Amino acid sequence: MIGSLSHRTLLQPRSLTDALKMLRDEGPLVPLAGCTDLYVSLNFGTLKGTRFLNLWGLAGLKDISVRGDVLSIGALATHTDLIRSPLVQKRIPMLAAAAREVGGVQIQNRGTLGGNVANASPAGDTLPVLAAADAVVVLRSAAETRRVPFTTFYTGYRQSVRRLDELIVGFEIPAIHGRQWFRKVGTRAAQAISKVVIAGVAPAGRAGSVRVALGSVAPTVVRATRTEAALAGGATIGDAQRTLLEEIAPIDDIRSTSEYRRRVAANLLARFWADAHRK
Amino acid sequence: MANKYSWPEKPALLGTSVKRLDGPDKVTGRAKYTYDINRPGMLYGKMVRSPLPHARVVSIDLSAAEKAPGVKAVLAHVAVGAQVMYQGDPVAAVAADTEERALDAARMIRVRYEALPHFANVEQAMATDAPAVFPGGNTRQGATEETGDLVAGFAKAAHIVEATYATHVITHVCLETHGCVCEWDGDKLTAWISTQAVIQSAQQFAQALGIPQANVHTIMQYMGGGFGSKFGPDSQGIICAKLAKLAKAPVKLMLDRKEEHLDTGNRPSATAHIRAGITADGMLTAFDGQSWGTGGAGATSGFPLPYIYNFPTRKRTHKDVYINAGQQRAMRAPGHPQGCFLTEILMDELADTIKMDPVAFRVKNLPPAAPNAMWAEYFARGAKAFGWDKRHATGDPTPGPIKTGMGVSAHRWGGAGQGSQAHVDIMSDGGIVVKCGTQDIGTGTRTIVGMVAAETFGLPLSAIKVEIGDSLLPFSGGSGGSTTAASAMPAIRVTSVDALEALFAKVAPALGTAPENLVAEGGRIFIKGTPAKGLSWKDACKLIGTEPISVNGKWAQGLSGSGTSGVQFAEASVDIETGIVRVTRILAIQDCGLIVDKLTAESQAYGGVIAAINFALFEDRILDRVTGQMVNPNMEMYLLAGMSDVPKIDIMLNNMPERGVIGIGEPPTVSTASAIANAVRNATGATIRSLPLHPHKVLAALEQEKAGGTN
Repeated sequence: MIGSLSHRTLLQPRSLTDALKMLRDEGPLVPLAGCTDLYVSLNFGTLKGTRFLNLWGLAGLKDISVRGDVLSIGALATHTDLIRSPLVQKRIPMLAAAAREVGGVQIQNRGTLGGNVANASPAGDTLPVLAAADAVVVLRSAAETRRVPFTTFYTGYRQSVRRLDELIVGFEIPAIHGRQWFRKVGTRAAQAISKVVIAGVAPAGRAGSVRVALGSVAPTVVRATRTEAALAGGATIGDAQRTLLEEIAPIDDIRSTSEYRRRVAANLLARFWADAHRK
Repeated sequence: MANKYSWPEKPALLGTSVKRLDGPDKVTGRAKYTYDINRPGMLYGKMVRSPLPHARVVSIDLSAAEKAPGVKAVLAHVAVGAQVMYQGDPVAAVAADTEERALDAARMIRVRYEALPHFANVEQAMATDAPAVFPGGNTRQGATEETGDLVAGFAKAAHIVEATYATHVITHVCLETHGCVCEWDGDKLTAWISTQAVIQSAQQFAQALGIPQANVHTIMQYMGGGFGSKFGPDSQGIICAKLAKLAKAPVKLMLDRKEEHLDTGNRPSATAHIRAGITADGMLTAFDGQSWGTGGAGATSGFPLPYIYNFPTRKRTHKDVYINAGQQRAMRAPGHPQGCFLTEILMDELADTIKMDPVAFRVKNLPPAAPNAMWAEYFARGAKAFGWDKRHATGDPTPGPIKTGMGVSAHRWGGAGQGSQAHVDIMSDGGIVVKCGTQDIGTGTRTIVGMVAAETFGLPLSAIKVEIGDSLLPFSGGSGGSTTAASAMPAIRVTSVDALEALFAKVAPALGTAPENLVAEGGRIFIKGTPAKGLSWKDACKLIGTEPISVNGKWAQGLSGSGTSGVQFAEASVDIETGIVRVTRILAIQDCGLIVDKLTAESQAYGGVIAAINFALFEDRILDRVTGQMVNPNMEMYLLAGMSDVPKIDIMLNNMPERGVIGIGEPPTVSTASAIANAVRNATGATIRSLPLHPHKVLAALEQEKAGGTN
């Protein structure tokens, strides 16, 4: 049965400092922004929290800018912001491609990059991109700011290193050298949660390193580091596919089967590598 | 034989494309659907349903709910000791002053269940050691149908194909869920109800509540889809009426999406093990099929098999299998999409045994051509229009991961009508009101009722006020079986002609002629052949006087027909790396007798095709094989096509005015899925003998094909 809104509280901070204080002093609070995942849980009757912290009005967390050679993206940048940002398009087009695959237009207008990461679903569309980009998650609490490599951010299924008094405030993405590639596999053309999602970077000439990240094939988004090494070392695509299948552990669930995810992950690895080497 | 009621030979309106009368009301939100009805002091109803697929109700405790804030009525729907037979079986209900309070109170109703053995799929129900779950048996074996000497038929065959084919269960997924608003005035009930059968709903309310039908007034002005699942108040309607009576206040009870999936009907599954024979020159010889299917808890699952094609010898048996899931209901061309798929996939496999073109093979094995059996012509027209000559043999040789193919399939339907009444008033100010107790379930009935009257009176559509969707109006049947147009249109025509005659009788003396010399055309009434000798409609109506022309009429023979045929072509592309199927083109050729409104007729075909793409590629009711619970009772996991999944669809309607009006609501949805599946087979060379064509199944079939074939 649909969840009840009775006995739930929403705290409304006026600034980031305010929000961090509330987290410290009035927790535990569930931060919310676009609510695109939260309302799904509410409707399914699985929403657990009772006290929420509304970040939506904190406009300072929407910035997308470049400092030195690093692209900074605020946690509250929406998918629409990512799609429209010339900086994102130029420096990390695979992120714009992933954002375009999220839900429909309304969801893209509301859903945020920070929310996608905080929700921690292994099927999150942008997560393999952040993993392949060697992104850094910027976490802030009332006491400190810390930077965590995205690839070590998740510790298990829907679990991360974020402490209850911390907010994800943004992401830092170093320059990416090489060809970027992104693919989401869902049953229908839009508004479908992924069965498999994959992001890759292939070196162009001498610049860059091979990177392969996948979603929906393990409890968290994964970087297929052994597969990367195999490809970088000149392995045949068949050998690389075999390595990949050792690295991932997809499950059967309502959206697909383990067998299907393994086949598609291997097929898409070959597609990525073939596309990367097409003139 | 032509008579005064016959459809005009040169119609001004009929057969043209006319926009829906209520289109602007719908797009601006002025149209009031059942969901939009709000009454003074109205309460909200909420049902409590069994979470278990099969259980005995041990106790029902309503006390906490009765004391909850805002609660005005609480009732138990079943007795303690009764069995619930599926997840979603209604158990209790509550009405409160807000939706949220009704929900909160529903959560406080404590029901204890003793779980009983259940079946989540047909395999469990058909197992030899299955427990007795359904009284009278877990399955019901139907009679054997047999024609000709099957042994001799197979003896003539040069090739035999033997395989198992299957379609799955899908639900109706009406965008407007089932439900109603009930309001009592003493022992008189008014119900605004989302229904395909407004008068029959009044009858069912009366029977279930033990009150005279004359005391029930049902209203349905606008509806967001029914597809065969909305023919009466159902349990939620009766519960709503009881809550309203208990609470002494109007109650709105609309189901949520989960309830809609669980308890408002579905299309039964169909599986058949088939053996069929073919001669070396492509003549069918024999068909032997054992089929089974499930329509849920105690419901039937029949379908026609083999479909359309002429198997000179054939044998077929069918078994209904009962599982613990919501009961099936009629769903847009009940049985036909199943029978069509099971036959049409087999047909392509048979054609491939002798490397014969699937269109030529089908044409060779059709029943004799007739006005309701025009397939041969449609195959030819369609093949030309679709570019069938560009179709490659099975297996697209194009390099790269995207393979494209074409498929074809045929279908039939009835669409006859009868037994409808109507009433027409012509006022002295020229106003016309046409009344009929039919309903517009989204198909455009309101518009075509107006068009038939306007055509008869020689007036524009805007001159007609149409009143439908109300049980106080003259009798008309429920909108099922594509019967609405063929039932209501003759009644409207007859009544309008009679009303016009009555008007002619008033006008004739003023024009110095006899009534039979008059015609009504272009907004004037004049002497046939001399348009100058006449009056404008308005001036003519001034002669009516104080008592309006008020005429009752009813359906008559000769204005409607029965039996439609259609053929559809599909082009699909398959990504062999992901198994994802995209439909790229559909051509639907369809007849429907006399076309009333070309635009709404085409809309029916578009809607039917899109619904069938959903059946083929997306929809699937999934029950957990252990718990028996539906794992996708929502619209997030139960997928329907989005706009970007809808391909280019071309509709070719065959207007056959000499056959009269025939319904078109159902037939266009029958053959699309089969044509798509045949296109996928043509694209990839892999035969997938069951729906839906989900990517994991397609990919698995491709792997199997690579490993040495699917046979």
